[in-house]
Amino acid sequence: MTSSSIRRATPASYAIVFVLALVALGPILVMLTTSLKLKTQIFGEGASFFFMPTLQNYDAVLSDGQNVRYLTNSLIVACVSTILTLGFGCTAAYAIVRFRFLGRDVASTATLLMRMVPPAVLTVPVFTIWTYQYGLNNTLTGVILVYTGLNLPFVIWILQSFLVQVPRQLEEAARMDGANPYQIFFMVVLPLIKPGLAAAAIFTFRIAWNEFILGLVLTNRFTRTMPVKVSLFINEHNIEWGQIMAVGALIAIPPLVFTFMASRQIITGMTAGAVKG
Amino acid sequence: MPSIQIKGLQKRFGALSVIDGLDLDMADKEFTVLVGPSGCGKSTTLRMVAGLEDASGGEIWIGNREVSRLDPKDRDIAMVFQDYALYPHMDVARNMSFALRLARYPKAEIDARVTRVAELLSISHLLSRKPRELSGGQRQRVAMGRALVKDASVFLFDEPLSNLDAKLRSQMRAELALMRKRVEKNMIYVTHDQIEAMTLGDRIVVMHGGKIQQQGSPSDLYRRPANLFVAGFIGSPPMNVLRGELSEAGGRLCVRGSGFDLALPDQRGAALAGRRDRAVIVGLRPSSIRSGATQDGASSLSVNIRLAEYVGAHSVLIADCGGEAVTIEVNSESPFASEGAAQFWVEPESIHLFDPVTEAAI
Repeated sequence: MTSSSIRRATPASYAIVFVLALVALGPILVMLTTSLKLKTQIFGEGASFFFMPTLQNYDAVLSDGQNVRYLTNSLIVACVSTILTLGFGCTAAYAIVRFRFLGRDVASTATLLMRMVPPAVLTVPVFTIWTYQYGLNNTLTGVILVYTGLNLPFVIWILQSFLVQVPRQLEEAARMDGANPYQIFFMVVLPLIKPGLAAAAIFTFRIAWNEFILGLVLTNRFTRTMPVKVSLFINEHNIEWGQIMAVGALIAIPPLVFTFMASRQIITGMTAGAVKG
Repeated sequence: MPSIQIKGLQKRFGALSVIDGLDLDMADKEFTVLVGPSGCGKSTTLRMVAGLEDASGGEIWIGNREVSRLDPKDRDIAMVFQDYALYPHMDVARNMSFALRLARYPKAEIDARVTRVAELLSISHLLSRKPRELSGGQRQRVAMGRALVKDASVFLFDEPLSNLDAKLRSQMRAELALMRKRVEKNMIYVTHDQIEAMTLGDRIVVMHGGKIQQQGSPSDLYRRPANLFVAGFIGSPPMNVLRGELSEAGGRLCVRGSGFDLALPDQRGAALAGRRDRAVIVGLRPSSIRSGATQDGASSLSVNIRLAEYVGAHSVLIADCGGEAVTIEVNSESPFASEGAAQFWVEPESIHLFDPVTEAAI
């Protein structure tokens, strides 16, 4: 970037940044403050920026054994489907990038086309097939499988773009060094596409963690995931805003931690020094 | 240590035949250089020996084993790649020991070997660095170290110096020449640079269009090129090529063309008897052209000098002889005109003649 393209910040640019920050952070702020209020304060009149914070909502949420179970379900579903997606995704992407086989280009395009189907469209067919053909309804396995299938196309696609950057000569050097195809893949190729794996992992984990419709349809009161549970705070009698917000704040933590952990792997220039550029 | 034999090696990509029936014998501990312009099939040949490319036909023997169907790792071969191909996520020591670790050598042995090779290549101080922290020359050295650590019986080099700048290249070339004296192994070296080929090789194999044009020692190729291609490829500056005609005047055999009339040695008379008064191609090394005129005036080359390039000990004259460009190498100490018409002569023994149709040496 040339120096002339970097312009000095003006008051107007600060204003724009401020508005954008407000739009992005405002809802989170509201969620956090609301989660720290009592019901009377939430529905109370007047300015509500000044109040005595209380952890009562969090206490209510966490002392409910069901919520702990659903949180565990969510973690299992998100983690397992992320691992499965990355595992299948990187091997499939590697095959598409490196091997020549009949229908390779079709496979590459078809995977991306699959991604264009909205999950909501899948709800009824998946429910029917899972229930009547495989008996996977109301199991975590069923949810994990459908999330894996849903995320796989995008992960394959994103990893392809990382894999084509791995110099073929490196793999040939490894072959000369006596590595078999699996050793080449795991010891040479995978470490080099770590940034891609991290990006794909963040993406997959968050989709699996936040997904609602399929989770609602495919689970029961034992296998529910957290986003589904949140919706149940709204019933015919009342809406537990405080608890909804407390759960919202709590379930934002795992993806946040995961994202920070994974994004440390995203450093560019992994292949620097491998071959003459 | 084994010799390498290549018998009837073929490589086709679909309908395109890149190498068609290549035969090559390499003696034990020999340093063979495959040289040729890009696309001549030299790298493909090397990759087939390495096992990175499947041969479409033919056999490759290393020692008394036919290896053309074996995996690269079963061929007892180490290879240095053009672009280094170092594993960027491993430090130098781990790069070098990768093959040994895969083969599950004991750790003490791995350490000993890495240390020994690192000392040999004077890269001991770099062992804990990552490839991206190394300069081009250091990376190349590590790449060689990685090959040496394996202690394979055959070494393959695929244009290992072509990424280095000119100064470093000549330095690494000298180091390679020294290294090959210490490491007595079979080596096959691919390059497009004829200077590398001449300085490093015991035997040079000149390839063009997927075929071997000539093979032999560097001086064989320089002094007795088998055809016009080899003549033009080996030697720097390249050989001058002029069109002329064989004739006999006063009992002496000579070759004439526009601007030159050069005497040929008498002993060639018998071999050239059938070609009298017919067209030939004359090849003159820039270094075999002498300034001035012979006493008897039997040999003369009249040129019009356009440019003199001062190189140092010698100068290169770019001149024009009967409409064709001629380069002449002269000693910078001796006086010469830097422009205008001048007279030269050529030692009869150093005149090369080629058939204008087949381009083979006469």
